[in-house]
Amino acid sequence: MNETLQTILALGLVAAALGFLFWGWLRRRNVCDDAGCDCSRNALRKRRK
Amino acid sequence: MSEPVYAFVGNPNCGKSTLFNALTGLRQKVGNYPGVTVEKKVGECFSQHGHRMKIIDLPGAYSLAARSPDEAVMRDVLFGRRTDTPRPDRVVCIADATNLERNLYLVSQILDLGLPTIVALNMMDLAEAQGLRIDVAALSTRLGVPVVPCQANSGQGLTELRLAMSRADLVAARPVWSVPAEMSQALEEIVAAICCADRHESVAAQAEALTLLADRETLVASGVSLRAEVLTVVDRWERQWRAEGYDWRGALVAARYDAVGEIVRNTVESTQADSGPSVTDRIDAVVVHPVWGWVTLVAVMAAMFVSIFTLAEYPMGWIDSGVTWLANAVRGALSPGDLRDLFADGVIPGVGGILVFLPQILILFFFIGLLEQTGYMARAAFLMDRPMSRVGLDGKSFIPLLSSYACAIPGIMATRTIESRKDRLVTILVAPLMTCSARLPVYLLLIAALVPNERVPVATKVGLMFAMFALGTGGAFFFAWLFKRTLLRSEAPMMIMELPPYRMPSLLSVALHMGERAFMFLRKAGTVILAISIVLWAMTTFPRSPGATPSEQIAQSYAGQLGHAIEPAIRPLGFDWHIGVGLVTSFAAREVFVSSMAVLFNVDETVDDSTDHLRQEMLQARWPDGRPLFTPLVCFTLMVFYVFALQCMSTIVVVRRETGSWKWPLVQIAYMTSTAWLMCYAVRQLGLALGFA
Repeated sequence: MNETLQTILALGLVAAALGFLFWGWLRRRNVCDDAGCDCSRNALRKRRK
Repeated sequence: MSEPVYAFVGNPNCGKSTLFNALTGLRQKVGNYPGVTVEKKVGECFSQHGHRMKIIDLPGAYSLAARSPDEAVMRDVLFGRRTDTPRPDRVVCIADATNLERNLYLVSQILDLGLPTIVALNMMDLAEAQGLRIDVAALSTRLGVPVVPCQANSGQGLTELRLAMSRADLVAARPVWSVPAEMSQALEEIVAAICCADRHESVAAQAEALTLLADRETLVASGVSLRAEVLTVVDRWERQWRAEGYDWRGALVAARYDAVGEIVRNTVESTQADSGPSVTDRIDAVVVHPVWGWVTLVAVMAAMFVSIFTLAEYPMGWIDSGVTWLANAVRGALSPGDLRDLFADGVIPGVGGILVFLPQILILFFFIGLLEQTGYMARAAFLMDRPMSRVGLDGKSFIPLLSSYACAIPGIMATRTIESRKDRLVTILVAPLMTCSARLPVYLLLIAALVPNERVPVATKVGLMFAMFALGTGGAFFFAWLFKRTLLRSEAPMMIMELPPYRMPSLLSVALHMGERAFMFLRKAGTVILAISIVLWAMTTFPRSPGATPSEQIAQSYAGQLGHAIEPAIRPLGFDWHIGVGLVTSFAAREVFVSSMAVLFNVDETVDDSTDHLRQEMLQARWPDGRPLFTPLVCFTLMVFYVFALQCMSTIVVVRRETGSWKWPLVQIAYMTSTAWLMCYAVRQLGLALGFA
């Protein structure tokens, strides 16, 4: 594997990591419908009466 | 009937989860209920006829009047109010046979729901040992539902329970008590307002009306939407009763307890005359004694910490060696290039740095599981209640803070059992001050640089390490006290908790608990750390400086530029840009500081005893004017910084998830970082005044 290909693949992984972190941030901002996942609304937030 | 859904309910410490684990084994899925950070456990087991049955293990509660989010989840699932969880078709209500009267209170509320119900009478062996003889057949007749005696920890009675659960002809339960005559008309009107057509619905409506009358404020506060016409009727009746001086809530509880008491009197017989204190009483005489209780607690905690540090040493060494081997293997397998560097210098050390702490986390959860199962944890919380109340917290904050000694993440997740929102927030805010295992590599490196082996005895190193633990713990208590008097002012909580009888732990449950925690730790910390490791590698690699040495490359990289940018802020503490880069990169995880120093000072990681090599390199590091960089004062100041600073991205993510907003993580970053800076400044000024360089 030559150096150029390695650089392209490495940068691809960096972009994927940044994308993953951004996606995680977005996902936590939205109310999710999966019963097994994390969620933004939670017990410590004051409920609207 | 296709795949019936069973709900497992019961009081805390009744053996519900042990029974759930015994029936489902590894066929279970653990997650969170959306909207609340309450653990959701769903499992599967098979009926006697080989049909699949789904089981939801609901959080333990003493009654349907919910006080904590856990209890609210139980109530809402049973009433079918949660859109994410189907309303159970059937209920298995687990009751502790040694304390039947209190357990039957919840059973009677469950029977009110009108769902087909089975009562599993757990801990029959303990009840017999206490001289209690329970007429199971009579109890079943009185309750109108099947009653199955069992011992969850030994597996006795499981076949009978599975058989009862397999029955297609389970009849709907009916109430076993009568509503006080003064309230019957009100109840009819509320049920009519809730309005239902078929019998099942009207029974459920009656149960709902009763929870409304018993605990409307909590129900409304927990976000349950109620129709205005229903609330109007309830309001009218409550106003009337208030005017008449009638305590309707007390009357409901008393009527239910009267019925339950009558059932117990007719079905339970004590065959033992008062033979003096039980085994539990005799153990408690020592374990919760004002003096011996503390001696026991210190001994148990010491045994736990010694085990965490000594037993974990070998597996941690294996993982560390595995990570180094893998990094070297990748270096050997790939030709030089960015991808090789990304794996060998970014991904593998980054993820390996987290994996290496897994044995300590597992050992901690093994002990916590063991202490919980034997019943000792409740005693520890009882003892800790007094010192915790001095700073305004209750004993329930003890377990989260204890867990934080291994890692703040499970500690913060363990705050879910604290009922008061403000107390939970205070505990979450101070939990990262407890000395977590990720700080250990940093302390070990700095202590090695501060007090070289050849000059001081080992006790000095141990003393320094202990001082860091004490400083963190003292800081946590101080800030809890401060928050309870300022930002999160509230009444000192009154802790009411049950001291369950001592019992033999179920190793299956402890093992499953450890497995769950290990999975959650790896999934939640591992994914984020992996991504951040990749990003950090890019920050230390770009922009490229052709022909530069590795340390020059880092100095000119984005991470190095960041280190130089923050140097003016950390220079008053005696730190230079190298340390600045370490502080920035260790924001991903504290232990990254050690590997950052290794890269910055160009240490070959494949050399044996690289920590000693790194120490030598650090001691030779100089400021541009030739002064040594890592003086004893700088090393000590740096340790103080790590005691107080929130250098952990994963903790921030978890706090954000647990609190539901960025406000509290930001408060936490602000107070911890400013305290770290001020403390370091004070330590440096004091050190300089005392003549240290």
